[in-house]
Amino acid sequence: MTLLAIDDLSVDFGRHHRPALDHVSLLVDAGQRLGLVGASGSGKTVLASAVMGLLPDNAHLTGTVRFQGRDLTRLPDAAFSRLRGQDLTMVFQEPMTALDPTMKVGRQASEVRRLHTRCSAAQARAKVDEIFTRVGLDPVSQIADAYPHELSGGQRQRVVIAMAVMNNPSLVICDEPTTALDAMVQATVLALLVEELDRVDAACLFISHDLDVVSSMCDDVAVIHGGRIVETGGVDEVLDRPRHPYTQGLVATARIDAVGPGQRLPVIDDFSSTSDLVQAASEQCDTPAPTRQDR
Amino acid sequence: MPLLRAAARRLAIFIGTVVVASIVIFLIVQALPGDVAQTTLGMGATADAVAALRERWGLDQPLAVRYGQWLVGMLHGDFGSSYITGASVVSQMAPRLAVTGWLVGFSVPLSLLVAWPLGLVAAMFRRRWPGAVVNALSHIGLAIPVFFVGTVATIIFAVNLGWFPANGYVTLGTSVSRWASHLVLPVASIVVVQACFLARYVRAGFIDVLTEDYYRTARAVGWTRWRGLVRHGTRNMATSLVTVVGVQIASLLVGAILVEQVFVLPGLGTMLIQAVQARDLVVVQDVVMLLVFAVLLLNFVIDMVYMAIDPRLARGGRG
Repeated sequence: MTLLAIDDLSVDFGRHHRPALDHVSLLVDAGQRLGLVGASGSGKTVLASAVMGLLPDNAHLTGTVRFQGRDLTRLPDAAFSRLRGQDLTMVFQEPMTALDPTMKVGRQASEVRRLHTRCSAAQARAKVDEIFTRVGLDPVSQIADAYPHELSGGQRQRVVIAMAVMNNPSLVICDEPTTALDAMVQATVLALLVEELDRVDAACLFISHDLDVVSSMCDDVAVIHGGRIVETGGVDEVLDRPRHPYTQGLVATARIDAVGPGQRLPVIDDFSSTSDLVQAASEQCDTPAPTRQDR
Repeated sequence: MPLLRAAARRLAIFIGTVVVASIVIFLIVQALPGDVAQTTLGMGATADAVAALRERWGLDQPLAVRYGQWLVGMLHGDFGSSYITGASVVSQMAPRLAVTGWLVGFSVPLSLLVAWPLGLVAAMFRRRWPGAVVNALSHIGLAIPVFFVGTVATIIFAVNLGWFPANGYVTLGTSVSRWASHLVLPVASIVVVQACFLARYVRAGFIDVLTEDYYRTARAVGWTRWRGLVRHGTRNMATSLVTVVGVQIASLLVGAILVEQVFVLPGLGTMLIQAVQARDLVVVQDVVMLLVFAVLLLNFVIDMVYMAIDPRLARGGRG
């Protein structure tokens, strides 16, 4: 059953910029783990923000994003807000800044419960304790009573994951959830994420540039380049037999062990034989970051 | 307890600064040209009479002794006596301090109460007309001096409409309703200007919040635009506002002088102007000391408020 259907989605920031997303179509089935891989600036985060309805004000969007049959692009903020955090949640890349620095994390987490469920403060708190315990935040009461700056990066990301799975969502979007963490913590947080996704039986759109992570955690993968989806398929199929030159490059550059001593490391450009692809990639890099806003 | 240690450190700095400030104020007033005793008695006074007066006022003592007497006196609540009237400075200052206190005490919270929604709307709608309107209004408010607002308010609401008295002051003890009605126009005049000023900082603070990751998180867990900004933005915005409010209160304490003049309120500012004109140096020295003390105390309190608002300052941790 199709849970999320992105159809012909284009996003641009102002008239004179190249589109950040260029006629993207993508399907996510209920319970499916879809990896979305691409270099920085390829449009991964814009895609996630577009699905969540959290694009900046100056973004211009065309196409449809259907979630459980409803077109999210036409949903008013109040109705969309009831969906966010409930059925559709997100784990962000940067655990250091993703939490309100002036509020204790236990309170921030219990908000997620109380925003969507009629319950007393005590009931919400009990739920938070339950989920915090599940995600390995120990001792629970001490951590719930801490401010974000008093926790480590790994602990903060556990809090963010706890908030994302609190209400048993049907889709969790993970935007490079482990990139900002060090290698040891990455593995445990990733394992935790998989465990929690299994438990609540949620589909996942897993955004990453790390092919190893994607192949270990996803069933299928979509490759995005220059705002376009250039290849989709099963993880094994795409990573073992990449068809698109960009994907070939991505796979080859990730295999450092295949490079002999003294040999030059492969770079993406080696594989982008078609000149328009190189052109597209370089122009993409020239596009200024769209998220910064004026004051 | 790092919080207590930090607070104790701030307190020590505060006390040290007050002492240094008192020395500076004392020396400046002493350095003013002209002999008070000579001036008081007039040009025709005999040298003996002047010397006698100097002795009575303690002006013949060495500087350090006089500074010590002044400081110890103040610590005991004795600010000395006016050279002109002979009345104790404290008894003159207390009722005037109350007037200035009411003015500032009402104006600042009300300004914040007005500035907060204005800044919120201006931030959220910064690309649309409501934001532009608020922005334009706050610029206009900034350009208009408070005494002009006061004068216009008097003409409209006191002279033409007769809703409030045009000037003067009645103490709280005499009549609560008359006390309040005399304060409405002065306080409103200050609030109009202050709210415009503060709204700009509230706006900038909220705009910062809009670009923060934690605001995006708040939206992602189900807060609507507005409620998320109010809920997760206000406290974060306040950390950047506290300093500005502190500086504003300080400048209001001294700047209330203009409003006191327009509305003929017997506040500290009026007292200071009269004392300067009469060369009543004891009063000048005491009033300036009181204002400086208030400003320093304010800075100390602001540091404490900072710690209360931003847990990162009070509770140590990994950045």
